[in-house]
Amino acid sequence: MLALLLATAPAMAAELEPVLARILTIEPEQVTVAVPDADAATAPTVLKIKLEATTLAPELAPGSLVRLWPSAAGTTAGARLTPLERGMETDRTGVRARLQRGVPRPPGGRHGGR
Amino acid sequence: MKPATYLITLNAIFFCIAPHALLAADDAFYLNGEFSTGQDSNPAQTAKAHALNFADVTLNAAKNLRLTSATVTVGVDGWYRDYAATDALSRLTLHTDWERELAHGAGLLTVALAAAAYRDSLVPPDERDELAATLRYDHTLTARTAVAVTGETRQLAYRHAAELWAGRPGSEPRNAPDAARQRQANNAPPPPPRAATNQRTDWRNSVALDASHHWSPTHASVLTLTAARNASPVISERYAQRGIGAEMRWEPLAQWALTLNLQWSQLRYDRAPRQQERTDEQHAVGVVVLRRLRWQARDQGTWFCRVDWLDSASTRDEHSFRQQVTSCGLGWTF
Repeated sequence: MLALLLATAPAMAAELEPVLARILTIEPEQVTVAVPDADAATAPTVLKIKLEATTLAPELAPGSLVRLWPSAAGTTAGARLTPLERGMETDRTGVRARLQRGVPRPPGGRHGGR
Repeated sequence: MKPATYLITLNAIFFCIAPHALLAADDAFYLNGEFSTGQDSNPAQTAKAHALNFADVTLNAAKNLRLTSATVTVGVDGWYRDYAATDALSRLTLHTDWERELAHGAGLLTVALAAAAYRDSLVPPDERDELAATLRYDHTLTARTAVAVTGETRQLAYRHAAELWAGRPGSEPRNAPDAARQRQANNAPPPPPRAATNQRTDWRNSVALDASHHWSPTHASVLTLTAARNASPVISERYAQRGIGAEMRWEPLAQWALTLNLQWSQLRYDRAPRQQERTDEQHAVGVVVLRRLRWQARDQGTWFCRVDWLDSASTRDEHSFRQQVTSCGLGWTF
């Protein structure tokens, strides 16, 4: 599996270039995000992402910074939004928790890790 | 009342009053529950393994309070593992996190305080109350790459210092008095000297460095380096630890995800009984397969199965053990 991951990752990396975006609103059918322009003096670009083509992690809320992956055609149709996974909630699968002292009884940890 | 008990009480009070004291227009409340069942080949992590089936229940509740320039999160996490025998493990954590974005949102500074109570009827000497202070900084270098550095100091107040070796690796499993007597008859090494006092409070300081890269919407890698130092009044429990871990995530199909974890860790103890050196090396591999469940356009639920292998090899054979934990379950965010 490791070989498969490493073999396929570089090829896919060239397909899409993600950008950081901040969620403005979340509606049942779409999410509105703002993409900052490289020129800070320019107003950010506001995009509407249809939720039929992407999923939305439950922890995302208005104000969250996300990773916006355009579709292969470079449009918002089919674009994907993924969370940045930072802060104290990042150890979802317990890598650091298990590094501390085995499973399932490390010296610390939320879910055995905090 | 122990210091940890004080902090748990204060944290609980804060958890209750904070939502009312720090009013915010767009605060949010999260509730997550998880149930799983599986088998642990060596729950006590002893040289002689004794497998047990188990059921896990996890509940996490948190409330985010969005302030003008920061976000405060107060939360409670509960974990309970019931083994097929009469043994059970549980952990209750109360935490308060303060987060503030820096560098126009690219950086995130987090200060976290946590108090936890860990209870373990399988290995009672592991029972403890904990206090932890964590400082973490995440920085998003590009939309693909991010790094994070974490520093933590944690106090571990053990509740049964006088039973230090009962059930631990190198001792016999509980409920095995015949084997213990046989070991004594064979003139096995005696347990190390106990601390002069029945109080045992360890201080564990650790740092970690994470680097993550997202190759595509469906491929991501995380590399983690860790170093830790455990200071203990029990000489044989003082150690330095270093480790490296890698995590690879892949989503081969919509809503399906596969995660592979690899870890290596070394624990170098300051002193072992009879002036012998003790160094433990741990190799761990984990595989997680999950299926996200969509509800009203959100990924509210998850079906998952996971397998974790751990091989802990010690220069003192009686401390070596292997463990395999397999479980499947369902998680849901309300």
